[in-house]
Amino acid sequence: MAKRIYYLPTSNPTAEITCEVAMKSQAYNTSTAKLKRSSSSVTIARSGENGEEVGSGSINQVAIGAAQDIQGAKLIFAHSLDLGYCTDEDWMLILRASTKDEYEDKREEYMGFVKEEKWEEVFEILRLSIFYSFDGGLDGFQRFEFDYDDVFDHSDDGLVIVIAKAVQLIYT
Amino acid sequence: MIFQNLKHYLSFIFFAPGLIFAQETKEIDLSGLKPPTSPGFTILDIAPNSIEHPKTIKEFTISTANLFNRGFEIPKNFAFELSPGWMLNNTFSQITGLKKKGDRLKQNIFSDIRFSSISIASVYNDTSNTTMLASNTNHIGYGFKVNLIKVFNRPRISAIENYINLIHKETTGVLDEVDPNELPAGVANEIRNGTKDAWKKVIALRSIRPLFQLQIAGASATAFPENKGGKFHRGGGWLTAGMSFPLLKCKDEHYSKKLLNNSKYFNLVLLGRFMTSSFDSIYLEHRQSLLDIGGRVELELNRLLIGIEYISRSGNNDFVSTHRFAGMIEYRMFNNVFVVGSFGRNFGEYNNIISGLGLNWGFGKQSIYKPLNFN
Repeated sequence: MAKRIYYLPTSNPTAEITCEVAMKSQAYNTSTAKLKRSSSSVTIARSGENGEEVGSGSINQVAIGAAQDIQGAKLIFAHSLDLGYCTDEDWMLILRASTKDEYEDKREEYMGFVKEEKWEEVFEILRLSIFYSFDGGLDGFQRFEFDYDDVFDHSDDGLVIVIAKAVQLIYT
Repeated sequence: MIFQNLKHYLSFIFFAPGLIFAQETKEIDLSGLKPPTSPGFTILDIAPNSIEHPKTIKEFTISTANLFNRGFEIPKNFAFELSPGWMLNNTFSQITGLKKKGDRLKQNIFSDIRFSSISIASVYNDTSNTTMLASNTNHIGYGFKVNLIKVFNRPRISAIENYINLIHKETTGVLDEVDPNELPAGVANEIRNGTKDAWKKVIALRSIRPLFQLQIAGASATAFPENKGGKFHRGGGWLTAGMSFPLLKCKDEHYSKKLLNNSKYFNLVLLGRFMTSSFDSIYLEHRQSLLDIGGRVELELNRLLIGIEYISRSGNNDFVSTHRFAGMIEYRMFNNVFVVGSFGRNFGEYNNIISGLGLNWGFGKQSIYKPLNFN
């Protein structure tokens, strides 16, 4: 897991820190954002519950808290990419297969990529993008992308992939 | 078991004489008026051996550049089919046409337009051995096909929404517990196992014929003798509209469950085809247009299927208008045994009686009178 840090402003301990997730893929995406402190954790947002499109995985801008209150905490984003909804026609579209034979070959290839954990190839097919935007901190607006080593788990049949990213919130 | 075998034998003995007539019923079919998969090829009467399907902007650019690698001469012998929607980054809501933003799941009835297809083909005929294509002539055909509208009824959307809500709840419940610093402990399998059944229901609900569907297609072809100057034009247009009403009460609280097991439908299909040509079968100047308009009404009641169809054919110049009117009744005795009866009149004035009663003895659950499939 690639380490990400968002620096909080030392000069303004009451500054409100916000975050936002913009996610896109051909799967049915779901995301949650959780603030984890040493002794407790609280879910601060779930995609689709604050006016976002269900299945998009995006989370609209949400307040994490005042800088002084979240110092040392970690923000954990968890995402699932679910292809359980796909009919054969949907699969053909996702895999860009024009014929049944091409579809069968490409689906087998896709499943092979998942099992071998070739995430670059998998996410190229799913056309995945995730951007995490933070604001209110020392450097103001800052944007991170997901990394291939953020992949946390995948189901045995390859239809569900879980990605997890942690962002450390600290003073310099 | 013995009784079942006996039923098979008896039905064979009674209906064996009708087997030959049963074949005739395959002609009573409106599917000939349906928009072709690739109108650009159909208009040329060709079935290309290899079709290029560019699926990215890059592939499209390369394919197009290859067509003109001999300067601006009209390209010869190619078949090209593309759906611009494939080149875009699609999402769940764009692929399924289902979007939930706020309280209610909504269907974008025009969502399939995104996946319309364009087909272009060129055939160069350098011999005079065939009557299908003019000799020493390059024929270019181009066409499009659009699934314009697809409508699910509100109870079905609500049923899908209930399953999506379940999936969301199940998935977020598992994701809430994820911590990247701990071992995964099968969270993806947990999500998959918790949502698998609901997704199966969503797939099944999406796969049932929509309440209303409209598909249009068009194509045109031009011949270029000696690869110069367009001559001999041919064009066509297709329209298919289908309505399928499940014979269920919409307000039933178990609607989704009943819909998934339902085998009672009232179907209405309307089809139209327009063809125009500036030449005849031996490539002499002759303008002719032909219009087919037809429809079919079907009633599916479990094992029984009753259908009536009508097609009117009219044309200009010396074409004598005609029509076809046919009825069909089919009863599924067993999974693979159908009793089929047909009656009516075919096009033309002579030998146009359609009548038959027979037994269709097939493999699997194949009926010969299938409700029109739009895809």
